[in-house]
Amino acid sequence: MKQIFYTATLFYYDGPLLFEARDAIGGHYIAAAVEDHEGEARYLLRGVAPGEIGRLRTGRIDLKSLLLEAPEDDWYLATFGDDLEAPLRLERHTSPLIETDYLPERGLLLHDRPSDDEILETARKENTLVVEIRADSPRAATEHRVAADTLAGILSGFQALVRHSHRRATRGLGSGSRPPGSDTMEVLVPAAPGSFRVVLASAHPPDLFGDSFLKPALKRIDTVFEQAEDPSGTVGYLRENRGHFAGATLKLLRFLNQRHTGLRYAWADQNSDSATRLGVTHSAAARIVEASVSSPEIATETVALTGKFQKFNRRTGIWGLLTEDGPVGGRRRERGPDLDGLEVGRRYRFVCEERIEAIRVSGKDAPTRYLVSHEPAPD
Amino acid sequence: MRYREPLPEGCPPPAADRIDEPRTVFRLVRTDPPTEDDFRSQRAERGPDRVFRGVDECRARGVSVYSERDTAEEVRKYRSQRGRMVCRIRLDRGAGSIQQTGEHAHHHTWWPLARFDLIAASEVEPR
Repeated sequence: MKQIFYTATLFYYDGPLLFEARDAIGGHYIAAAVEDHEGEARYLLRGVAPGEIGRLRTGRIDLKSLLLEAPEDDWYLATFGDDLEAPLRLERHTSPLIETDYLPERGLLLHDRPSDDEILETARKENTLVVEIRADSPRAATEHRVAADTLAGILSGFQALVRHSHRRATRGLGSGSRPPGSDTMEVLVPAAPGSFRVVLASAHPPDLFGDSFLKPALKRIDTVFEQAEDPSGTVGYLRENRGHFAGATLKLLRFLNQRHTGLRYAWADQNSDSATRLGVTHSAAARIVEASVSSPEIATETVALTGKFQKFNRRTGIWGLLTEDGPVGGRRRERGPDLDGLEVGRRYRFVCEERIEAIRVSGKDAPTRYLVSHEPAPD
Repeated sequence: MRYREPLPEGCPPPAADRIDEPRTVFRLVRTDPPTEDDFRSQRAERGPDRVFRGVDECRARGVSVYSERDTAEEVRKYRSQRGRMVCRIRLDRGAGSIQQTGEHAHHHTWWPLARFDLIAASEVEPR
């Protein structure tokens, strides 16, 4: 007997009513709830081509048609195993499915209507949050070309903005709100033919509530670009959100200004009714950058680091601390707090002002850190 | 504040809304008029030992409702929901907490408070 495993819920109502499953060699299945059997939900399960599930998600085919058009004759009645890792319990059948009483009614769609919005359709098809970014370069308008490094710079700047917006949105929340990789986007469509657009998809699957971990991050970014025509309002918002998020926003806007390029983006997730579309023109980016000049502190974030004191070089002002996340370092300002008297190997809490002025080749931030204060920390 | 069913620590989640203003939701029920059994959570329905796919314990102890009647009507097309009726529930202050959850924008999980009279607030919709 095949071993088939639950992979994701497509429709939920007091439990999964419709879910996807896979077998050991990657075969795709879809399962629809049919009845309660000995206190458990029982499902009609059938193998389907992977692309067909995409059609169901985008409202191009109804569930009954999908189940009846399956390439194989056999179908199963399935119940869940006793633990989360267990395969489904299966009862194989080969009689014509159409003659059974297990099928749903005609016209059962996952969405009310097919979407005519490409980004929304992609989000539903991929079952995750999707962002489309377009470079709005003057060169593109006349030559149908855009410099590769401009597009790459926008992409990298937007990725950094999403990452810091995510961190800002989840600050103070438990680690469950930011599992590893949940702040990352992957390129889904690297450069669509005939355009200057890149489509990114959330690298992490949605959470237990069906929400993308990046949704709050995108909403925060939207707040910036909704007021892009109001430079003082934008700078005011960034001042309220001082730190790496504001720094990443200004860095992206400075880049757009230098390259005389605007930016448009659209995003949606699998639950969205419509895509959000926002952007900033080159001239608006320039006005925001200009308005921010008098507020250099916007990009500075105050961070507290606790760990074992490792070193201090009086000549260079460089210090090192071994934290639970690994070694970190920074500098002492000329009139900053004195580090003489700190004991190597003893634990301290360092409060620092941090700015991100560079990004390493690995894509990780390379922060510049200045010590503001320190105090002994309990072991 | 006591909920209708015992909830785990941190449940309802901070992102859930406490119901303070009137709102209407829809749920499928087996009988007209509905009974308390029509508002049992998955956990109450399936017993203490069952493991649930794709949801945590908090959501397993809430009940599914829809913010739009049409979506509840669609759910009736599943074979497992055949014969059920759409019930309109008028929620108001003291009804508990609610949060949009899952794949469909209209789907919400509702955690009713013990003192909320959900039978009095419910009415089966004419077909």
